[in-house]
Amino acid sequence: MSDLSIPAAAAVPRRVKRPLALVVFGVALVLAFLCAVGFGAVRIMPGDILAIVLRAVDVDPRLEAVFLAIRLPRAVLALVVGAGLGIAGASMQGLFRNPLADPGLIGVSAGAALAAVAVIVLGGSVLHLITPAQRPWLLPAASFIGGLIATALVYRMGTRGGSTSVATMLLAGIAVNALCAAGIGFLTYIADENQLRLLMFWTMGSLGAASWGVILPALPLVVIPALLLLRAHRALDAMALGEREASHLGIEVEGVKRRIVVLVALCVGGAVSVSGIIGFVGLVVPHLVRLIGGPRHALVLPGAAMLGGALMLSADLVARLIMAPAEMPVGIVMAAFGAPVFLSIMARRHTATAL
Amino acid sequence: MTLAVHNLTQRIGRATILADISVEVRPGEILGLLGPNGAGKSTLLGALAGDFKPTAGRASLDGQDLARIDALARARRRAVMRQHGASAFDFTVREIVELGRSPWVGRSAIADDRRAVARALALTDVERFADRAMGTLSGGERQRAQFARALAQLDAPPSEVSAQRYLLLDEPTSSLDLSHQHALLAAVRRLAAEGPGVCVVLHDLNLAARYCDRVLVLHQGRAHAMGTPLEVMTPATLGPVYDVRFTSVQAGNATMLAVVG
Repeated sequence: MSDLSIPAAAAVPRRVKRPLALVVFGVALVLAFLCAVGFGAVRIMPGDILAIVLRAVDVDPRLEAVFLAIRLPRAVLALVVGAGLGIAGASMQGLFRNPLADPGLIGVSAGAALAAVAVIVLGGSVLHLITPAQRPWLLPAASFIGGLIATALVYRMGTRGGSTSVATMLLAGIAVNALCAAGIGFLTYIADENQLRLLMFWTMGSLGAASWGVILPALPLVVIPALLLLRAHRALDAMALGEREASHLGIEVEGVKRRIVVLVALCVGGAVSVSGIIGFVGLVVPHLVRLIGGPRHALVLPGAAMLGGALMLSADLVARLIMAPAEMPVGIVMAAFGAPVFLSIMARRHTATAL
Repeated sequence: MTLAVHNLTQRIGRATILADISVEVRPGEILGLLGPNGAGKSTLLGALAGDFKPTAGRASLDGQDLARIDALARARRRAVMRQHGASAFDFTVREIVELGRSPWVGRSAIADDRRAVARALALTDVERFADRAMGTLSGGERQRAQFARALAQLDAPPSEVSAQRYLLLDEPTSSLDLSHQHALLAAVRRLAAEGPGVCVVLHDLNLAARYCDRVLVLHQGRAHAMGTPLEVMTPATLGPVYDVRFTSVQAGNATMLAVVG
């Protein structure tokens, strides 16, 4: 006992119990949602929303149109993208046993974006090959495949002899990011005027494209893998002890790893296909959840989804209001908020344990 | 009804880590694995755990090939404690020990899980800091917490106690002070008396002599000697293996090995 420099009382982490933590995250999510649909050029109060939902007769039709056609799809998109990126980040960190792993940092988002950009710029030549009914799926499908290839590449690079080196993986992520940036740069160079406007949106990350027609095909692509990832909480807890230890505890490690990589690529690919590259959500949100309620994935996974949704709704609100009537890409807001948090996590880890 | 390896050979690349090893862990006994660094002790323990496919020979549980038993079924029959147990996130001691219950999810009542965790925490003397984060503990305290996790895993729910269980320990006392070394091995001794078979890698020969029923001495991947500590742990047998000169020392009613020169 004498070798401890930390007083025992301080060493007992202050944690909010799981049910209470989930309630707190839920309240934050609802508040963020109400603010996101409420604020803008037209104010929509919660009472108005209730009236619209209940189909009251005295609703201002202009208000109803703004809510149903503009605010609601955008808020739903923000919620789903934020939740998907949050849970994907939490799963990735559990899988790599490192709180710094993030789908953006290790190139999953960039791989997905490169594939999406390729479809935008070069897609004209393949569009005649598929039926019009399949077209809405082309972009999400391409994003998923791009994300999957990037994830598999980084994972393969980072894993030698059954153990995953986080340093190698992060370096491989830098290389994949650079390669994808080069690809996106080349495609940007050969793109025409119309395509360029779309590309801006991809590379900076924006929810401005939200309309029911665009987001509905992508929603299940994010929501279903996110729900499936929730079930991996026990496996991810065991993986935190190491892969051999997890297998000693009865986890089929290789199968679990493959499943999580595919689900994360689906989640991120789906999110990227409708919002472009939005970094740091997957990094910052799970960290906050662990800080509040501890590292067990039964809390971290749903918590990261809820808080991810809340953070994305808030960031998008800021992006819409800060330069109104113009709007900023939400990816910029998120990076401005997320990068300092990332640095502070790194600084803290440097003092506590090695990378 | 044993956990065993038969004519096991393990190569990694060109290096032969283990050559033609046959040994069984019997119910109720403590089998010690001895030998210098690089003798293949941890690899043999890994083979008994079913961690990898043998290059030649086989590892079996109750006569069935370990590789054919799925991870969950194996986890319900044996617990493993390896060296360097560290966790990626800041779990508390209690959370780490609770992880030991994960093979029993759905099979064990929550009350039984809670009892098993409480028993393991008490047996390993980590109750006092059960709610502290692992990162704030000393190496020895962390080691005891990992031992508690293995004990919690081995604590089968009442409906499943009939199957024979095994505990595999890789240098479980390496970071412990003297009294906790003995406390841990005494706990292992009591556990074995209730039926489970134990296989333990030890570096301290005197601890091995005192607590093991049988020892297997490994030297450069081969079985150098096997038998009771009294038979095997003699200056003549161990001297060449460790490349030092031993002498037997009478201390009270115990015979101990001491290094001379």
